[in-house]
Amino acid sequence: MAAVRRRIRVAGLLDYVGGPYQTDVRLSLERVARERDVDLILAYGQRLEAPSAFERTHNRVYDMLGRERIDGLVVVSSVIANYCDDARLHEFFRKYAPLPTCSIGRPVDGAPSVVVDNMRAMHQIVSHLIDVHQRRRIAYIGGPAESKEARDRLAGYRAALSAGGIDYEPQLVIEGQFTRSSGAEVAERLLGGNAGFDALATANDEMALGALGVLKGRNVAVPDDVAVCGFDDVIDAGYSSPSLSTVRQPLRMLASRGLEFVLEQIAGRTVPPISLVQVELMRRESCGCGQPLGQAALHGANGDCSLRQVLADSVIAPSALQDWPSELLDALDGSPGGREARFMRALGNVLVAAEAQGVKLEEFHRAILLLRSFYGRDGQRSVELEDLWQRSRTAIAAAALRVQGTLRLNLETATQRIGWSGERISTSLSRPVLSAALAEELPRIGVSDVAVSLYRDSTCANLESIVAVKDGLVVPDVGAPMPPRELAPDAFFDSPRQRTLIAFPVRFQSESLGVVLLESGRDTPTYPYLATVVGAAVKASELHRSVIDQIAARQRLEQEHLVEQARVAARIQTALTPRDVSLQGLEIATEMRAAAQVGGDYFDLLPTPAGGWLAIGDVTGHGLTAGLMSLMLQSQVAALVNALPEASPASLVCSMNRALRDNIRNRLERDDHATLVLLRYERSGRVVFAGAHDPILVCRAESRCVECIETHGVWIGALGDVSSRTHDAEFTLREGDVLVLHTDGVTEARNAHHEQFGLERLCKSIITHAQKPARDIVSGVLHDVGAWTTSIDDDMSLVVARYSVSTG
Amino acid sequence: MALESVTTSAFTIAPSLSAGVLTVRLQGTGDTLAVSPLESYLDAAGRQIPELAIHAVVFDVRALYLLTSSAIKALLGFIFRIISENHSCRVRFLVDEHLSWQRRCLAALVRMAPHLVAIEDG
Repeated sequence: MAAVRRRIRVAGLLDYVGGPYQTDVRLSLERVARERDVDLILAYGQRLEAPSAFERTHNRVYDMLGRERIDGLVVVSSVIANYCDDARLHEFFRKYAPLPTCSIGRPVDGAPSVVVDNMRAMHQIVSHLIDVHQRRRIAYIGGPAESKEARDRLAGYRAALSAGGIDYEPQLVIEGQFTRSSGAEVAERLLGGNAGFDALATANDEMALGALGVLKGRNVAVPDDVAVCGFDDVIDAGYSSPSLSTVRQPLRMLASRGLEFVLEQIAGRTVPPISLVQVELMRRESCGCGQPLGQAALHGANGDCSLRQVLADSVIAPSALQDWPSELLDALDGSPGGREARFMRALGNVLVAAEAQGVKLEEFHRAILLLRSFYGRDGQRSVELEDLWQRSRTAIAAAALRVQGTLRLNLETATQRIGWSGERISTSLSRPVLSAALAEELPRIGVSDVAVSLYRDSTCANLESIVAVKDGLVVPDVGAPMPPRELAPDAFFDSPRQRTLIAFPVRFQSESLGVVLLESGRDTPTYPYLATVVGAAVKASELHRSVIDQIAARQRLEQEHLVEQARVAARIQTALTPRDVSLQGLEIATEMRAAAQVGGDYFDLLPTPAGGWLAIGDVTGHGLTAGLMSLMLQSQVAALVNALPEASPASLVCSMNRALRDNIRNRLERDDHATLVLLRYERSGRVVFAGAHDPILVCRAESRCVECIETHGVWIGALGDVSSRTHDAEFTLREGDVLVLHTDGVTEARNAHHEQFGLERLCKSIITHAQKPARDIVSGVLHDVGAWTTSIDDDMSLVVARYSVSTG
Repeated sequence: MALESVTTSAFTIAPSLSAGVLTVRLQGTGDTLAVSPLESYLDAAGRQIPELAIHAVVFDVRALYLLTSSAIKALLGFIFRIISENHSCRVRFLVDEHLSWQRRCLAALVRMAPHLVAIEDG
């Protein structure tokens, strides 16, 4: 539920914040809002029913206006409804019912409308070309066919031709898009066609200005070769070269009357369904008149009172400035001595006051020209005042230029500031960082009030506020979800002072992301860029989040995969460990302690009638691959020993090497290898061995010393043929001797100082425990290793076998 | 590249080249975490043997605490590369005579390529 408002709030719907037409309308709406102490939200979308999805995405901001935040709407239909037919526009207005509405620039069935008579106005200016300037071949650049304004103006053109006895020639009429570029394009086509023309009328000033540029470029003299006229009287029309003759739409009056109509309806009063605003023909240089502005208004101005009224009508000014004509006229009255100085002072004061109220200072040229014409009737006085009029016009031009220059400088400065802040905003890769950046940067560039609200998800059912700043201070406790029509938190809207907020959609390409509200100020034309930066930053943070989530998910998956692999490897290793195996004459104990990440330790005991085989090895690497290789080792050893129990260990190692190397290199496509020593034990105590592994240790019962027997072979699986480097060697066990086989996990176990347990300590440990049963020797040695090391980084395997001549 | 040092938290590779002899000082712990940087370094060094005209590579392992089987495998791969690419290059390991595990650990490498690899006390 929206909070109770203390002030009426009205929305205005426009497009393109930088357009001259739209700027005039915006300034007028803002002025009336200030005068009437009414809050204003100006929502900038694009044109309704626009052909591109990109434009239509902008229009989502229109759907976000409702009774939750506003009391009425002014719709500038003349700009946003160019592609709309009457039925579609009517439907658009209906969705805001029962809110009071008003259409500006185009009549809408069922809603009050403030319009100009487009057909009559165009008839007027085309007739001027025919009647005053004797033009007979008048080309026409029209607006989009979907626009009612465009159709009405085309009808006016045709009617004027008919009234002037000129046949309508379709090849002289081409449709434009109300844009400057389309005007230029159509002008090129007209010039390139066969039909010559001596005048050009356009459905709006923007197209006329575009056409003027093309004519100039083609060295077509305007107005001598081709007279040109437009429609609207945008600010550029008076400054073009040649100055553009046009129909003045009193845009500010249209806008102010439209807002007044909405306020009347909010107050419960009725307004007329259609309000026609008079247009004025602005005869300037491009049609051939070259006349100063508005002289027709002087006809009939005889007395001082009527002169004051004519002057007042020549400048669109707020009521706060209503006395300016009197100020100037009073300065002219009185004694001639000092009159020029009095008048220049008064003019200076009027200009300063007008600038503060946002009045177009150029309009005061008209006032001076009117005064010149009026006083020109008095021959003597006219001469005396000529110099004053020149000085006045110079002062007005200088003041207007200064205002324009200041605006431009402010715009450039604002653009620069936005560029610096935009870098920080656009590189915010998360919403909290973006919120902080917006809260800090926007006040810094002069935007004291800003609210950014984003859709919570792709359904766009709810918004959440990510930042709200009011009077430069962050509004606390934002973030709760709200319907899109609430736009921003209640606390953002509760303000004691009158504000105009500019609303832009936050979007990325054709995706709607939310809405941004910024208080209107001198830098308003730069706001679209800000909205774009915010949209890009929001999208970047979403993508960043998505990438992080995907990486995390993949890492989890990989980790699960590794865990599963490790589990399988551990199962393999456990399954391969021999259990309850006895070899005649040997008291045997074994143990394998696996590291956290299972390695490739392998050992086996295989009894034969003559005694048996012992094997121990270590595959490089860890995990499932090492487990598979251990499985291969075990299988091959078992198979060969079973088939050839009396074979030479060296021959078995060589055979295994070939098979294993083929498996590893060609089938598994790996480059691993393994240590392996095979020992053939005979009941007599003779042991024949071959291969390459850690030393074989024999704790001699007689000397109680450990004998280290080196293995002199090569690793298996690395070379194709190891026969030249693999030879049998042998030693003999005597009564009570303890044979110990180990893997390097035992000797390489490190303490906190990186010192290895080492072979020497292993031998000492064996000696310490040598008198104990084999099982206790194993546990004793492993206990000593465990006391030494801080962590088990590699598998540790021990095979202990005490030889006894008499043990069965 | 062959002449660029590599440093991790517990392992360092410090190479230097003089008169065609590439001396590579390995320091710290040659455990699982050291394998990847060691493999990358040996791959780069192997590629640059001909262009740097290296005729001998000396691995100084005296400051190594540990050399796991995976690290040994990386060194074996380097030796095999020299053999397969027919480089005229010898490999020597400089060990600490007081750390018997070093010589014992590397002895199998010598046996793999006795005409190419040797161990010396440093």
